[in-house]
Amino acid sequence: MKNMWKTILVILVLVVMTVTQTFARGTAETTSQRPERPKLTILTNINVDTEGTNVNANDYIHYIEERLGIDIEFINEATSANYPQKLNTMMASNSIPDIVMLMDVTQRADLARFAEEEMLLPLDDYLDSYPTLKNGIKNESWEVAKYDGKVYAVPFQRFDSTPYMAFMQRSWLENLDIDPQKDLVTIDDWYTILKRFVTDDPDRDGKNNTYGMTATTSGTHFTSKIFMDSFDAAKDKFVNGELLPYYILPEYKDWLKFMNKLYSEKILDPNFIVDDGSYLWDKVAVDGKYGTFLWFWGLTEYQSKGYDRSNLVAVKPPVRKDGSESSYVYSSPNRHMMAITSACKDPEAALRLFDWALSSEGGVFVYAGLEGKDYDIVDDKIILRADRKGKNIGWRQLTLGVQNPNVSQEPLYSIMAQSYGEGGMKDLALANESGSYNELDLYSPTFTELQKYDLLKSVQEFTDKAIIGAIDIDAEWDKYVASWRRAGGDEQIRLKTRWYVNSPYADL
Amino acid sequence: MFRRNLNRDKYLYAMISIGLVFMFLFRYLPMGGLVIAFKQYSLRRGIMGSSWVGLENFQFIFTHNPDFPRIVRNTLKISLLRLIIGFPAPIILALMINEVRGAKFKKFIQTSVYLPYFVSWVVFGGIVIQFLNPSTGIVNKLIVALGHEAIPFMQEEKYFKAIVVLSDIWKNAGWGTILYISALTSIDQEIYDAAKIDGAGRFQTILHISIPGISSTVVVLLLLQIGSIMDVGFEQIYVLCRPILYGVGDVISTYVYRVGVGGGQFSMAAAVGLFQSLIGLILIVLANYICRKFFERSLW
Amino acid sequence: MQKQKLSMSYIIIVVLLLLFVVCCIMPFWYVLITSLSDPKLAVVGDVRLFPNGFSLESYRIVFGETKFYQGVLVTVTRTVLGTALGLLVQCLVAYVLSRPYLMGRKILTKLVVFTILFNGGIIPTYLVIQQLYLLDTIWALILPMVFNPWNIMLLVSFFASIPPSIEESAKIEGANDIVIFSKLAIPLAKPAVMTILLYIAVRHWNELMDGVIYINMEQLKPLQVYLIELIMRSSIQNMIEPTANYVTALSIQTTVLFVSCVPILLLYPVIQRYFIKGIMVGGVKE
Repeated sequence: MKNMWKTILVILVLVVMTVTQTFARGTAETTSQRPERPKLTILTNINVDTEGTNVNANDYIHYIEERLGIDIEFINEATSANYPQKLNTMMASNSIPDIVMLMDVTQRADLARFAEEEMLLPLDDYLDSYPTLKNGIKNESWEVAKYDGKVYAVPFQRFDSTPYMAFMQRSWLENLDIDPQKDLVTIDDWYTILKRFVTDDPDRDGKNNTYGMTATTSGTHFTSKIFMDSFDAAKDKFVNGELLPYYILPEYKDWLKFMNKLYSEKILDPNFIVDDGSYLWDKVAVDGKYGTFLWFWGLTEYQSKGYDRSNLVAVKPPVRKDGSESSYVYSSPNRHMMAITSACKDPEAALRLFDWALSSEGGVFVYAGLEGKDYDIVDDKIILRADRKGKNIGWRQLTLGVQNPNVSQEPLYSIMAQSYGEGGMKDLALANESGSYNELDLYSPTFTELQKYDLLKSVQEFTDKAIIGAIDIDAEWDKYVASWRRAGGDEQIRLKTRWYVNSPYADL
Repeated sequence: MFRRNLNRDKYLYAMISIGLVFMFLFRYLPMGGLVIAFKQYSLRRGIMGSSWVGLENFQFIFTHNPDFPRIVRNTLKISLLRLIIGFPAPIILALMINEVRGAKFKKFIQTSVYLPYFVSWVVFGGIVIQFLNPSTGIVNKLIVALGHEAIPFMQEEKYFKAIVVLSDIWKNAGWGTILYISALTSIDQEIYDAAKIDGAGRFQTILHISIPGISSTVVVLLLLQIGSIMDVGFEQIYVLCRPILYGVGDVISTYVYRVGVGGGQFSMAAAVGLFQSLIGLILIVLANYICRKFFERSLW
Repeated sequence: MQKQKLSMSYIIIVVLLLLFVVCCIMPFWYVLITSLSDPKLAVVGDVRLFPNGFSLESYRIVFGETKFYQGVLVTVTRTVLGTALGLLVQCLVAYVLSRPYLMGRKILTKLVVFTILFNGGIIPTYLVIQQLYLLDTIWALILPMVFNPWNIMLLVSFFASIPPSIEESAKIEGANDIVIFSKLAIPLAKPAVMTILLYIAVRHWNELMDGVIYINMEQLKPLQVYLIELIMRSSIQNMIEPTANYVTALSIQTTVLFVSCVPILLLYPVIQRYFIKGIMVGGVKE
C-alpha cells in the first residue's frame, strides 16, 4: 500500500520535473532567436528589486536590448557573500562569461588576478573610439581599473565623491543653541559639543541618558571615522623613504587616543563594538539617545522607517590641527567595475553598451526610467510619476554596469531632485564637498604577491582594542607596527615604495 | 576461497555498486583537485596545467604567517570544548526526553527543542548578541537586577569560547536528539519492563539499559566528531566574532575565507584544507584504535 | 488511568526540559512575531509576546512573486527525488557494509570514511559537475548529495545491531540478500532509516550553495537562493535607492526564515510516527 503511494509520488515528481525543465529550456530558447545580433553573457551581482520580475525578462532589459541591438543574458548571483564563489567558479570553468562584474573590497585584487592570467581584455586601444565613455569617467576612476599600466575594466563611478556624511540630531542642536557653522569647526569644538550632548540633557527629557555619538561594526568601522582625516590619519604617506599605510602612522595613534578618550568618557556609544548597522536606526531614531553618526548621505533606511530626514543635520568634519579642511575619506570612487573577458567575441558590443550608459540618454534611463512607465514629458521636462519616483534606479544602474555620474548638471539634476528631494540634494552636495580618497593607496597598483598575506586583520583588532581601552595604546603601539611588518607588511611597503619613487606622484 | 566469497555475496556487491559509483564520481574524482595544494594554481592553466611548487604553500602558511599558530590553537580549543560539553548535550537531552511520560507531552517537547536548528546563524547570532548586550540584553538585565555590574560579554576574550559552545548547544542540541531518540526507541521495551520488576531505579535504568542501547550510535558520532576537530564551522564564528575577539575567535575556517576566497588564494586554501584533513585522519585512526581495543566498538 | 507517583527525579527532569523548551521556542517565536510586526516598528532582538503593530506586508512580498513559486517547485522536486535516491543508495551501501562476513568490508569502510575527512573543494567539484554535463540541470542539485558517508556510517551501526540469527534463518529459507535487505533489514531499522530520511530531506530543503554555484538559469534556482536574494535586496536597495518604499531588511529576513522552515517543520511529526519500537518479526530469541 505504502509502496503504491511511493511510486505515484515519484512519477508525479518526475512529471513535474520534466515540465520544469522544458519550461526552463523553452524560455531560454526564445531569447536566442535572433542570430544576427551580438550576444553578451554578463555575470552580475544585481541585488535590488525589480518588482519581482526576472532579471532577464523585464521592461528595462528589453528596452536596452532593442535600443542597442544586443542580446544580453545575465547570470546573476544576488548575494554579496556568495558572489566571490560564483565569480571564481565561473572563471575556473571552461565557459567564461563575456563580461564580469567585479565587486566589493576584492574588486581590485580580482582585476589584478584575472588580468595577470590574461583572462581580461585590455581596453586602452578601444577607448579612443568611445569618447563618451572615456571622458565621462574621471581619471581617478580609470586609474583604479588598471593593472600593469593598462585599463582592464570599465568602472562604475559613484556620483558622489564620498557616500558618507555625518549627521546630528537637529533638535539637540537647537535645544543647546549650537550653530554648526560657527561652533563645530575644530576638533576641540567637536569634543566640547559632544560632551555637551552627554551632560546637558539635549533631548530635554530630564534624564541623563544621552550619548555624543554612535558608530557600528559595519565595514571596518568606517562609521567611527568621522575624525580620521582631521587627525591626518586617513591617508598613506611617504615618510623617511618609505610609503607607509595610514594605519601605522603616528597620526593614527593620536586618532586612536582621541577615540579612546571619547569612549572612556562615555561620549562614544559603549556598544558600538558589538552592534552592527542594523541597530543604527533604532538608536538614532527610535531611541533617539545618540547625537551623531556617520552613514550614507542617502539616509534611505531612516526614511523607510518613516522618519523625515529634516530631523537630522549634515555636518562637515572638523578642520585639521593646521586649520586645513579635512574630509570623509572613502576607499574608492568606484562602486564596482565591469571587466570584459578574453572570451568575449564582440567586445565592441559591450563597449557600445557602456558608452550609451554614460550618454545623456543613458543617464535619463538610469535615473528616470522609461517614458510612459516611470515618467512623462511635460513641457519638455521630465516629470516622474508619483508612484514611480525612485523605483528601480538601483536596478537600472546595476544592469548597465556603469552610470552617468554627472548628476549635478541637467538633465539629471532635476530628475534626481524629484527622487531625493531638495534636502537630499543639499546633503549630496555637502557630501561631494566633504569627500576625498586615500590617493596614494588608490593609485598604487595591486600587487598579486601580497594577496596571500592577511594584513588587515591585525589592524582591525588593534584598532578596536585601542578604542575601547582594552590595551595601552602607547605601550603596545611599537609591537603592533613591528608585528604587522613581520606578517607581510614589510613586503607591502617595499613594493609600494618602489612604485612610488618611480611614479609621477613622487614629484608632487 | 576468494571466488567462493565473491559468488556467495554477489548480490551484496551488486547492491553496493551504485553507491560506489557515486562515491567515485562526486568524492574521489574531485579529490584529485587537492593537488593544487602542491601547485601554484592558475585559473587559466587549470588544475593540470598549473606548475608544481612542492611544499612551498605549506611552508608559507606555517612560517610566514605569525598568526597561524594562534589560529590553530583557537580552533583546537573551541573544538575540544565542543567535544567535551557539546557532544554529551544531545545525549543527555535525549535521555531526559525519553523519561517523559505522556505521548503528546513528549512530542511537544521533541518538536520544540529542534526549532532553533532552523534559525540560520545570521539571525540566531544576532539574537545571541542582543541577549548579551550590556545595556539592553536580557542576561545583563538579570545580572544588574541581582546587584552586579553589567558584563560586556561580546567584548572580552574570556567569554568567547563559552559563548560559542553554549550557543551551539542551544541551537543544535535539539536536532541532535532526534538520532538518539530514534536509537532509544529501538531498545526492546521488554528489557525495561524486566528491569522495573527487578526493582531498578530511574538512574540505574538509564545507566544500564538506555546508555548501552545507544552506545553504538554514540561511538560512531564521537569518532566522526573527533575526525573533524580541526574544522570549526564557519558561519557561527563569522557572525559572532568581531575583530576585537580575533585573538580567541579567529579560526581556520574564517582565516581561509578571508585569504582563500577573498584573496583568491586557492592553492593556499587547499593546503590548509589538506592540513586539517590530515590531522583529522590521524586523530580518527587513533581514536578508532582505542575504541576497538578498549570498548570493542569501532568504525572499521 | 494509572495513578503514578511523581518522583523528585521526574519533576526535576520535566522542569529542566521545560526551561530548555522555552529557550528553544523563544528565538523561533521572535522570528515569527517580528515577521508579523509592522516593518517600521520592528527592532532587532526585541523579543516580545505579540507583534509590534500587525502587518502582513513582508509576507505579501515574499509570496507575491512568481519567483517564489518557481523556487518552491525546484526545491520540492530536488528534495523528493534527492531524498528517495539518496536514502535508497545510502541504505544499500550501509547494509552491505554492515555484513561482518563481507570480503573487503574493512577496505570499503575505510574508503567511505576517508571521504568524510578529505574534500576536493569547490572548484574541483564544480569542474567534475561541468564535465558530467550536469550544470544548469536539476540533477546537479540531486546527484552530488546522493552519496553521504556520514549518514552511511550511522546507518551501518544500526544495521549491524540486527541480530545475525534473523539473517541466518531467512537465508536458510532461501531468501537472497536483496530480499533480506528490503523485507527484514529496513523494517527492523525503521527508526534509523526514517531519521536519515529526515536528515536528507532537511539538508536538501536548506541547501543554498549548490544552487548558487551550479545553476545559472533563474528558473532552476532553488527556493533558498530566492529567499536569500530577498533578504539581500532589502538591505542593499535601502542603501542605493532614494525612496523609502521598501520594507525593512529585518522584516523580510524574519519572514523569509519562517517561510523557509515551515514545510520541514511539518515533516518531523510525520516522521515521528515511524519511531515505533523495533519489531521482532518472528525473531529467534537470544
